[in-house]
Amino acid sequence: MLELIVQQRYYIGAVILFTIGLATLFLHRNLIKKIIGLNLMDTAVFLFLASMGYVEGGTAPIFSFAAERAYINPVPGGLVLTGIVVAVSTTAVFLALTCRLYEKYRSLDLDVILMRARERHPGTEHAQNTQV
Amino acid sequence: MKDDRPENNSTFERLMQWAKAEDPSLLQEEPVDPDHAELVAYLEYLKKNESVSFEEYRRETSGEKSEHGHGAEEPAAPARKKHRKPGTLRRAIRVYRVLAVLIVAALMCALIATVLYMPAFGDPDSPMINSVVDRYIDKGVEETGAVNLVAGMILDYRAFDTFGESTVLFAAAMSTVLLMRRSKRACGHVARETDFILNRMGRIILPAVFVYGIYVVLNGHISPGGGFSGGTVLGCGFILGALLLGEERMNDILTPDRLTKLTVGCLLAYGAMKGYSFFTGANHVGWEIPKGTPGDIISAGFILPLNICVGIIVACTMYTFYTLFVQKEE
Amino acid sequence: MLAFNIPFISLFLALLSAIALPFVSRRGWALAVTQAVQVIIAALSAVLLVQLASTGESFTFMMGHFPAPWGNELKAGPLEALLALVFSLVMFLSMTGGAVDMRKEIREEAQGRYFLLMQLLYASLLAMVYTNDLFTAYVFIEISAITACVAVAAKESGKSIAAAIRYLVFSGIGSGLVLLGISVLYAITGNLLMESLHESITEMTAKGEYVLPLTVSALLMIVGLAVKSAQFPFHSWLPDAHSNATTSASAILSGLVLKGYIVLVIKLIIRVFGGSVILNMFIQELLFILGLCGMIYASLAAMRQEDVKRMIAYSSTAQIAYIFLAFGLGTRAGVAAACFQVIAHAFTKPMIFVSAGALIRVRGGSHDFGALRGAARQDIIAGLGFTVGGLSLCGLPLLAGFSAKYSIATAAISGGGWQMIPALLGLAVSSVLNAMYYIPAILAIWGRHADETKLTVVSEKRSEHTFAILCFLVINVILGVVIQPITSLIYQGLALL
Repeated sequence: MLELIVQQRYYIGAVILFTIGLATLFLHRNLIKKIIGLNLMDTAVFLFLASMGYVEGGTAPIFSFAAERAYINPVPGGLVLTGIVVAVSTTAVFLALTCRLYEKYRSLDLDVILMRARERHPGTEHAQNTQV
Repeated sequence: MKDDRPENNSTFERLMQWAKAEDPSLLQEEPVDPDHAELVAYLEYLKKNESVSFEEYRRETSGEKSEHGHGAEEPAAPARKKHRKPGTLRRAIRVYRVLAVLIVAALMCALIATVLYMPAFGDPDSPMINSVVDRYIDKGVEETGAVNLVAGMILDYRAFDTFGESTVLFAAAMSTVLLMRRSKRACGHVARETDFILNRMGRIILPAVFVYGIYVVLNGHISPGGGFSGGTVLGCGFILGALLLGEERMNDILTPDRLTKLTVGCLLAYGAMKGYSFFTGANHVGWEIPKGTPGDIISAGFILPLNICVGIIVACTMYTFYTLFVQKEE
Repeated sequence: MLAFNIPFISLFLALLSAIALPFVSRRGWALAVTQAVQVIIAALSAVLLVQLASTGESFTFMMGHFPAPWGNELKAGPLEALLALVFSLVMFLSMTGGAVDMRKEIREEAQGRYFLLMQLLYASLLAMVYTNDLFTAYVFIEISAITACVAVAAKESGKSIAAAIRYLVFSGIGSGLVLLGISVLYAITGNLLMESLHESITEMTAKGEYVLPLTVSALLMIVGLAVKSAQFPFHSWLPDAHSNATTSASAILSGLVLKGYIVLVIKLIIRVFGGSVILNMFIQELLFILGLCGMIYASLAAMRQEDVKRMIAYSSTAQIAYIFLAFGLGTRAGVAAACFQVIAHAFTKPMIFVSAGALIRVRGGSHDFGALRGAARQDIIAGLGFTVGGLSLCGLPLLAGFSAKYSIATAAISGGGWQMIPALLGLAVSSVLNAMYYIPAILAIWGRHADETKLTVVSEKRSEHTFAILCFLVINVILGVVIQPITSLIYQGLALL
C-alpha cells in the first residue's frame, strides 16, 4: 500500500491540489482568492497530465538523429500546452470582470457585491422611473 | 465606525443615496434584517477604510460587540421583517460551507482511490503508450518534418485543437477589450516616472529578451519552444518596453487598433493555412507542402509560419492584457 | 463531394467570419455579416441533412493529412446535421429578435465585439456538434464558456457583471471537472478519439480492469457538463445570468449554450460509453433522480418569481432537468426523447425570451409582472409568442413542448423498470406546475391595465423581433404536429452517432 502511494505520489499530489483549488473556489468569498483557486485547479490538472506523460528512462520528445533513445509520451505535453493557454484566457476574463465589479462596488467580496447589486436596482436598470 | 449602531433606517437611507437610488418608495419597502444591517455597516466602514475582507471586519466588530463568535446576530433588529427571517441567510451560508467541505473531502478521497488504481507512474507498458504515441514518435519526423515532436503533434497532427486554442486566446483578448476599454478620455494621462534601476537594467535586457523570444519562435520546430512559449517571451518584451518608454510612446507604436488587426491578421493566416491543409488532406488532393530536411530552419512545411503566427498572436494578446489592466489601475 | 465538405466548411466559415469581424469597420455591417453566415450555414446543414437522411449513412472528415487516431476528426451523421441546422436557425432568429434591445443596452463601441463573441460562441457550438475528439470538445467548451460569460456581462450593468462572474466560477468548476475526467480517461486508455475510447472501454469492462477510474472519469465528465448546463443542484448561477443578460444573449444562452453541453453528454453516453456497464451501475439512476428533483424544484422556484425573465430562466432549469431525466431512463428511446426535448426547447425558450424582451421594451424596461400587465395588447405578436411558448412548455398538444413530453413519456413507458412510474408522475406534476406559473403570466400580459392613460407607450418602428417571433411560432407548430418523421430522424441519427 505504502509502496503504491509512493509510486503514485505525483498523481496523489495533483488530485490533492485539485481539491484544494476546488475548496478555495467554493469557500472563499473574495474574488481574487477564487481566481487563485481556479488557477490552482487548472495547474493541478497540468501536473497530473505532465506526470502522466512520463515514461521510465525517457527523455524530452526532441528527436535526435544521433542515438536511439526512449522518449516520453508527447501527447500529454501538447494537452498541457493547450490547457495553459485556456487557463490564462479564463483568468484574464475573470480578472477583467473583477476589475469592473470592484470599480462599481468597491468590494471584492462576492456576497457583498451580490447584495449590493440586488439593493441597487430592485427592478431593473430602467425600472425606477417607469414603474407604472 | 459603527459601534453605537444608529437607527438602521438612516444608515440604509445613506446607502441608498450613495448608490444613487433616489426613489423614496424603495426605502420603505426593503426588509431589514441583522445580516443586511451588518453588511450595510460594513459597506460604510469600507468607504472609510480602504479594503478589509468581510470576515475580518466581522471578526473585529463581533469582538467589540459581543462575547462570542457570531455576536453580530444579536443586536436588536427592527421589527420590520417581511420576506426573510433574521439569520436565515447566515444559516444557509453555514450549511453551504459545511456541505461544500464535505463534498470536496469526498471528492478528494474518491480521486485518491482512483489514482491508486491507475497505471503506475512512469510505466512503459501502460495503456497510454499505444499505436498513437508510437506513430508520433517513430514517424513524426518523417511525416511532419519537425524534430520537436510536440510541435509536430500540436501543429500538424492535432492542429485543429491548436487552432481552437489560439481562438480561445483571441476570444479572451476580445472579451477583455470589451469589458475594460474605456473611451479616449481615460487613456493617455498616466505619466509615470520611470524607475532608475528599471531604466538602466531594462535597456540592457530588452534587446536580449526580444532576440531570445524571436529565437524561440523561429526554432520551435527544431528545438524546445515554439509559438506559445516564444510569444510569451515577446509579450514580456513588449511589456518591458512599455515600462521603459512609458505607455504613451508604446501606444503610439502599437495602438490598440493595430494590435487587434495584427492578431486578427495572424489568426486569419493561421486559419487559411490550416484550412488549406485540412481541406486538401480530407479530400485527398495531395498538394502537400514540401517538408524540407528535418533539422533545418526552413523545414517542416507549415509549422514554421504557424509558429510565427502563434507567436505574434500570443505576444499581442499578452500586451493587450497588460495595457488594459494597467490603464485600469491609473 | 459538396456534402462531404459541409461540416468543415460551416465550421471554418463560422470561425473565420468571427475572427475577421474587426476588419468590418461599419457597425451595421457586422451584424449583417454574422447573420448572412448563419443563414448560409443553415442552408448548407439542411442540404447535408437531406443527403444523409436519404442515404442513411454518416462519415468522418479528416482534419489534415492524418487519419483519425493520429489527427483530429469531424464526424457527421443525420443527428449532427439536424442539430447544426437547429443551432444555426435559433442563432439567427435570436440575434434578429434581440437586435433592438442589443442596440439599446450595449455600448456602441462594444457592439462589434459583442457580435464577434456571439459568432465565436456559435462556431464553438458547431464544433461541439461535429467533433469526434474529446480534447477538441474541451477546447471548444472553453471558448463557449468565455464567450457566453462575456455575453452576459456585455450589458455592463452591475447586476449583469456580478451574474457573469458567478457564471464564470461555475463554468470554471465544470471545465476543471471535465478536464480531470478526460485526463483520467486518457491515462487508462491512451485515447482521445471517441471511437477508440469506446473500443478500449468495452475491452476493459469485459476484462474487468480499471473499473473505479472509468466510473470516476465518467462521473467527473458528466457532472462537469451538468454543472455547465445548469442541471438541478448546480443551477444556482443560471437565473441570475439569464435574467440579467440582454435579450439575444438570454435567448442564445438558454436556447443553445446549455444544449451544446448536452450534445456532448449525448455523445459521451452513446459514442464513448455506449452499451457499457459503467453507466448502468448508478450514474443513470443518479441522473434520473437529479432530473426528477430538478424539474419539480425549478418549477416551484419559478412560481415565486416576480421578475418575468427570472421566471423564464427558472423554467429553463426545469426543462434541462427533463433532458437529464430522459437520459436517466437508460434506454435508446430515452436518449432520443432527450434529443427531441433539446430541439423543442431550443426553439421554444428563445421565442419566449424574445417576446418577453419586446414586452419589457413596450413598458420601458421593467421586468415585473405588475408593470407588464396588459403589455401584450400593445404588441400583439410578442404577446402571441409569449403565450404560445408558455403553453408549449406546459405541454399543450400540437405545440413543440407537448411532442417532447410525449416522447419522454413514451420512452418511460417502453423502458419499463422502476423509473416508469416516477417519470410519468414527475412529468404530470411538473406540467401542472408549469401551467401554474405560465398561465397567470399569460393572463397578466393580456389583462387590462388598471389605468391605461398612465402608460408609457414606447413606439418603435423596427419589426425585427416580429419576424423572429413569427418564424419561431411556425417552427413550434411544425414540431408539434410532425412528431413521427422527426423522431425517426433522431433514431436514425442516434444509430449512426
